[in-house]
Amino acid sequence: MRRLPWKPLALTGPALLVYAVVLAGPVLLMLLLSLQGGKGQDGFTLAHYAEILVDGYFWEIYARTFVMALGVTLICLLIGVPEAYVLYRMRAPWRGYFLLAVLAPLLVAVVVRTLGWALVLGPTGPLSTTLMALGIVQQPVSLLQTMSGVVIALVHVLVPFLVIAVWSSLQRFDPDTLRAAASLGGSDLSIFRRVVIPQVIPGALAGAVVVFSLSATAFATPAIVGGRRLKVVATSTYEEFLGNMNWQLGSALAVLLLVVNMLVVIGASRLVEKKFAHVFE
Amino acid sequence: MSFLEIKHVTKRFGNAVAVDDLSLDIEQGEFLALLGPSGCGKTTTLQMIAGFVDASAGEIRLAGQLLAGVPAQKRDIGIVFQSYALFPHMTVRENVAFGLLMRKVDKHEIGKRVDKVLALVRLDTLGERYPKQLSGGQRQRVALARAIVIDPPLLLLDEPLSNLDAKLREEMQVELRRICRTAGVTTILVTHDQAEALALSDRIAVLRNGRLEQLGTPSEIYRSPATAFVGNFIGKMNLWDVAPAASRDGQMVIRAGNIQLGASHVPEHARGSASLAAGIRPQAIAFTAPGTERLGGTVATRVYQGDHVLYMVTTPLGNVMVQAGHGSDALRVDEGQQVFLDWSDEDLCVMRGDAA
Repeated sequence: MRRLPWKPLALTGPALLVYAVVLAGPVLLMLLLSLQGGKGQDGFTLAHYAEILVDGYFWEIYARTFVMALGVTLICLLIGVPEAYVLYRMRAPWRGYFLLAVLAPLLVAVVVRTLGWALVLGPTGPLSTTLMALGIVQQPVSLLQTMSGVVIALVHVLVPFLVIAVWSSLQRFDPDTLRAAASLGGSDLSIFRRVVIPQVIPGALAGAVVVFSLSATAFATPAIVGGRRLKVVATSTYEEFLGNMNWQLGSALAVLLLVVNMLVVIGASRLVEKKFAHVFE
Repeated sequence: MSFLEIKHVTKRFGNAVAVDDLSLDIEQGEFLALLGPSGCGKTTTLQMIAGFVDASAGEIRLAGQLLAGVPAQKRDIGIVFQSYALFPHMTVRENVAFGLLMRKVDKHEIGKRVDKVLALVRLDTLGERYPKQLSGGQRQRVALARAIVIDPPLLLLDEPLSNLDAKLREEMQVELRRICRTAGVTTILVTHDQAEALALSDRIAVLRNGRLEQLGTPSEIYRSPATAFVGNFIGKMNLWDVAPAASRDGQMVIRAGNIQLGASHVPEHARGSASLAAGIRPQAIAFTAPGTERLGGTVATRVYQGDHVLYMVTTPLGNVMVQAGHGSDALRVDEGQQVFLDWSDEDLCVMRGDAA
């Protein structure tokens, strides 16, 4: 008979308990709610899921959510990986300041930051006035209620997660490999492409998974910058709960989002483990 | 004109001087060791040659061409790093092929050259492994293969064996020597390990505080250290501060404390020095019968080391190390026993003292 690993259980027990109460509990309640029939009906039903799956309206919302999340993730990768590398190459005092600047968006309350973006991106904001002053556009422009606006605002707040993930994988990076590559005649670009990027891919993918799931579930930014015209799953869920008072349908929307999100996260981690197991301990 | 010329090179980091007016000439095909304790400037010198660090003053020429302003990428110098710096995401073959790929060598040719160099370092069967799947000695050989496959005019080895355990290090010394000789490449080895420097090099440059302390063949350095520092750093040596008492026909009588010692040869580098030291290797001292000794003392400790016994003898000149090898009847002297020490004048080295 195998003995219970009581020591790890005892050590992680308290944290597991907290998770069970504050995370698993509510999620379970949501799941039960999504399976309930309408008012006055007894028993479980899959009717709400069926309703979502046959309605093109919801398909569009899910598609928009994941396209947005994917776009944010790709842009974060394009910005975050070079940014982390530049930070890594910086010298002592500056590195600290710039790291702080990168993390700064996380220190500002989400509503304040998002309203700030609404001002910047709006028709009377600095973006519009600058473009008009430069003569690039004749009429005031607004990125409010557009996908671009939402993506910009989300990238701003989510890029730090990617930078941190890549940064941590750069911590085990041997800087002598850069010198070795240079001594072997590699140009700066081919060193970055062939030596740096492959070594930070695991970190970048881990960061990308975080960014993807955070942007797929983001609420405040799509709600404030995107508005009612640009609905995503999170804002639709909110609307079902508080606007249409259809809690069952709202729960089903949220549970589906959770399931798809989890599949993406698990799939990505599997991929990293499988592809890079031989490279890194 | 030498193959690699280092002329009056100085490197300052802020106020600290890492390399201080260093001049060295290295001939084509030579194996030279830069030897010294940590902080002596040997690694900085290597990095200036490699192009990772710019000299504050002086110049370095490779085959007559001034290296200043030539980036590391264009120097064509092969380097083996202390950490090996293998690319963890590439197989052994891909690691070795990297330099050829960067030189846009044709694919077929890359395959042939990689095969050849892997055979040279005896890793032909491990080409598809990743660095993580190799032992320390194997990684070391991959690093070496990667550096020499590009046929560099100059090979730099930065403490290449320091991450290996003692037994493997000796094996790799032999391997390294064979590989470098076969490749016929001019090599500079940076090391703090005097045994490594003695075993591998044609010449050794001993550095101390950024300055060249002595340059010579391993046997010159070992047999006739120029300074007390070198004598102490290379192998074991009993050292005394001495003053000249009399000098005649290149011979010298020196005084250490109240004791007069004869030295049959005073090398040039010691003449005219303000402070003098004399040294003798522990294995050059023998036990002798009472009355014929140059120095008497009591055995303080006796350490058995397999192939020899090392005695620490307390004498009027301080503690003296005496090493007795196999076949010597001095192997059975006990601690606390009174002993009488003798040596030949030829074995006493006179050198510049540390204050000079």
